[in-house]
Amino acid sequence: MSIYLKTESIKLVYQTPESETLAIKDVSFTVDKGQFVSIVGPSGCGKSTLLSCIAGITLPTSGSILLENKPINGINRQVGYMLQSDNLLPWRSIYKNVLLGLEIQNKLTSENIDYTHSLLKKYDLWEFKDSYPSALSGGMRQRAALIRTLAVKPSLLLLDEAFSALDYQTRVTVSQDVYNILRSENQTMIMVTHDIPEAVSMSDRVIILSPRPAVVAKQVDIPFGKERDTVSLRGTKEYRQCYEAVWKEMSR
Amino acid sequence: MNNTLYSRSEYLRRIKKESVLVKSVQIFTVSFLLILWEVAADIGWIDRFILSSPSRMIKMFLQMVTGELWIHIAYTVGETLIGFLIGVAIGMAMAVGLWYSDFAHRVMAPFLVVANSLPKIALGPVIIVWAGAGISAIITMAVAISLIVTVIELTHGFYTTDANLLLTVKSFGADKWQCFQKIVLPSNIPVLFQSLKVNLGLSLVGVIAGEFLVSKAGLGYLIVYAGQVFKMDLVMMSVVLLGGIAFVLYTAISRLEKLAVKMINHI
Repeated sequence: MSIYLKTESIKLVYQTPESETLAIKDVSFTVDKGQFVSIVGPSGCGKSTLLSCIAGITLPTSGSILLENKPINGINRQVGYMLQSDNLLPWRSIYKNVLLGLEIQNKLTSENIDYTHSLLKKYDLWEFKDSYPSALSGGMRQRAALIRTLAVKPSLLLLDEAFSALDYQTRVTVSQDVYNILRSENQTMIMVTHDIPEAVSMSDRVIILSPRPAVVAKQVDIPFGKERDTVSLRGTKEYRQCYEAVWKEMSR
Repeated sequence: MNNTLYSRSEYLRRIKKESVLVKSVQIFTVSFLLILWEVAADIGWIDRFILSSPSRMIKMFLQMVTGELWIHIAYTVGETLIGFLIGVAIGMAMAVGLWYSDFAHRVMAPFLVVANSLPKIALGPVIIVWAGAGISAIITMAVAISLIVTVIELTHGFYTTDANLLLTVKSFGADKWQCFQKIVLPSNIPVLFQSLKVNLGLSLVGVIAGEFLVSKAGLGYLIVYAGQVFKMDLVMMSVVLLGGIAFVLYTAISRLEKLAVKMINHI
């Protein structure tokens, strides 16, 4: 497979008037097209910072990030970025919320609007399109946020702890939902999480970062393929092996 | 058997009853105070020459209502509205500017704090010299008193907009103006109307202060004139009218706020 995203020796130093902090020491990895890669690591290791570098929101101190061989050095409209909470605008209906990205990018063409309609229908939000976010459950809001991101057809999707605001049960079912949505849209994506079961059950590869300053400690390939049930596979032997490999590296 | 404690109609009846109760207590309180005032003046607890009484105020009102009273009211309301609108327009523009440029915000911050604590009424003589002894001086006074608070409140509201919402639109590639239009402005509608309400009250303060200093008409003029010739009925009546004007204007802004919230939900 061809390399889609390539990060080379990313280093990031936080400057404040009082001091400078080395947050990321040296991180290099690649992601292939259509691949789902998770990044885990101890809290405060810089995994969210790394993601915001890839999103072009934070600029690394040195190193390069190449998306389809083109460097990322600023916010890139090809990259979709989803944060911890759904961040739906409370004063907009679900329908107006999911069109927000297209609106900002001036891409409200009938073709794009049709595509958004189809996403809303496919993922069971069509009948709630005129509701306001406050009337929806956490899981539905998260789906709406995902559709808003997918509506602009990002070629790379970044998920930053996208499910951590949900309670455990919702989170497990929503992650299955989201997994199915993303797989059927054949999305390339990177997910940052602190939840090892989530990382192992959803992704093709798990990258484990060391404590701060971050380097890539280990990469674990997950052998479940694309067609999977992210809930029931948690009972299998392979899952346990992968989980243990990740856990061992993280608890070192 | 019906297990629900309250049916829908019962619930609606209950909230209706509550709001009627609140209104009744309000009306009762006002009537009670007015009657107390009238009785106290009648039986000589208070001096009706100094403190007037509701019946004397009404008599004064009926005397003037066919004549020049409307001119005074029109002056005061007109000056207040013009001062208010100018204050809001300049205040909004400044707040947007200070949000747009963090540098300008940092430069201006101490000046705003000083300007806010300065008693603007002390500028009265200066304003009269600058703007001339007339309506323009009164309006300038209204703007001087209401402007800085508007700028400070709005700027603070703009700067404390939810960072995650801003990040979300930025990640779609929104420029600074789109951030303002899509996130900052709509999420600050409550702040905006809060500051409009404060601004309105302060404009009225500014207009009356201005009319005290320099005017030939208006309720402030009427109060000063009546005070000088010891027509306390006229003073008190004018003060009550000012209260009425403030109430009407405040209600108008509340209505406007409801409309704006509805509109923002449809853009």
